[in-house]
Amino acid sequence: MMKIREIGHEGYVTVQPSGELDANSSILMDEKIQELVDREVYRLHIDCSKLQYISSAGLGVFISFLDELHERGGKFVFSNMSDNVRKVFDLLGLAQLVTIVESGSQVEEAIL
Amino acid sequence: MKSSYIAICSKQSLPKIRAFVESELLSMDIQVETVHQLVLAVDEACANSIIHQHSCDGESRIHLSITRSGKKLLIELTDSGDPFPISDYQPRDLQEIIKKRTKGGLGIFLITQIMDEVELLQNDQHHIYRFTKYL
Repeated sequence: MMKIREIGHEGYVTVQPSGELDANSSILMDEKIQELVDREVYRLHIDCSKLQYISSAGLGVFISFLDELHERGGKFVFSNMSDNVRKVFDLLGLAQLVTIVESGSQVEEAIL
Repeated sequence: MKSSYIAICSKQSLPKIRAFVESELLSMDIQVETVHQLVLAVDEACANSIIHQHSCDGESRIHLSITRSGKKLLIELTDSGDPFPISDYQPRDLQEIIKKRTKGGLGIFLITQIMDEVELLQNDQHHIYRFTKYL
């Protein structure tokens, strides 16, 4: 079962999913992002270091919030993607539309 | 080489389906990177069938079979729900999906990106989504 950890920072929040983000577990990610947006957190770092798998349902959650975050001056920054996860972003053409950084140390510069 | 799997139409079946497909494809000497993509394509097809064609009805079943003949890999998903006309699928514009803030509509696109041929075959009792990959 996927678990989601939240880590607060000055100016942004890190969301770290562990496990597999598929059609079954994507509802949990949807609820977490919605909860953050409701708390007026619009700069979201998605730490993929413990994400083993993502399907279109998982990506669909992020896609559905892209416009709203952008409208509110925020963004998603994804980091620490495995090759498998990165490949799904590439197949969908999403890698050009979101910010992806190699490691957590690059997040602050990309997100603030 | 042929193997098959029968899955309950529940979203909880998806991790088990992925584990089966990964294990079978690896045993067929297919490259790991290709296996990961094929697992994704099958996951998308099964999720689509389970959620949209069967409304997650735990009494229903879908049947999956994987056959390798030389460089040709055939994955068939046999289903008795209402068929989705997958062969006629037109890709959706990602920018439009972002603007409409919708969550779905990308699974079939991923399948068509990964597989070389996508067909829908029908008879009186069921229909078969046939996915072909040339290795």
